[in-house]
Amino acid sequence: MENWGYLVGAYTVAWLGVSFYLYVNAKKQKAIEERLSDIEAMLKDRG
Amino acid sequence: MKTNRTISILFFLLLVMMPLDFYLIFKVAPTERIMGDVQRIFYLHVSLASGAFLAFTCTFVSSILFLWKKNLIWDSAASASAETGLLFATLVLITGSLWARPIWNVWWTWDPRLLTVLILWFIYVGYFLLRGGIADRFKKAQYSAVIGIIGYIDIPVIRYATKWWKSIHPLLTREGGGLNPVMKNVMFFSLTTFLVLTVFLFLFRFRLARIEERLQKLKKLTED
Repeated sequence: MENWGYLVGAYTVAWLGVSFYLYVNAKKQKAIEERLSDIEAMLKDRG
Repeated sequence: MKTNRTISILFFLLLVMMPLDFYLIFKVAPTERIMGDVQRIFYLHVSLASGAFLAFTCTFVSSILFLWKKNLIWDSAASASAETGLLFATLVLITGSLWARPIWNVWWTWDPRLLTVLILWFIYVGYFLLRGGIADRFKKAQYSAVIGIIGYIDIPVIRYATKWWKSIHPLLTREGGGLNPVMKNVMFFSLTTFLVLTVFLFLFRFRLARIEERLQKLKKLTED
């Protein structure tokens, strides 16, 4: 396979990029949801 | 709830489509006569570019709807799609460069198509820099909507850059030529897969933007 490094490189970069983007956003979502439930519980306590 | 279900459906659809797309690209599509195996980057590169255009079109439409309706939900949609578009545009530039090195013998050349895509990339980087610099939620939405609309002018310029100016960028379709039928079918499947991925990433980010919005509202409530 000629120039396989460029071919593998392109697909690897693309999939790593998309996976990293999803990972960061999923982590962010988890943190926000935890924060949200904390605030909601606090507001419930306040009445 | 409806968004959550759509995201799940798209995720499972992608679990089937992605491996199949890989199989078609690497096993079914024939090797191009002149470029060899490195031509297979095109299935990824063109699909990413189409995904970016779809996302930026969504930014354009959502920006108009925001300025018209003044509802922040449209700003969330605009910024979520712009983020997806910027991710794909970045990957388009990188994969294009990885194709250009063995074929053109350079990583980058100032071709009209490449230049206009780079301009698009800078426009949307500016879009997010601006959003990061404005504290007022409504002003942030208003200014970025203006950029989202004006920046979209670059899309037709990218499309016609190879016609308007002298360009060495390859064209996907040529009169009386272009891709062979198997390559065309693989390209079509790859495009469909990446359009599904674009919608999935957009909805995923849009849901997050809505949750962020809710958190900000609740924070304000606790401060008051």
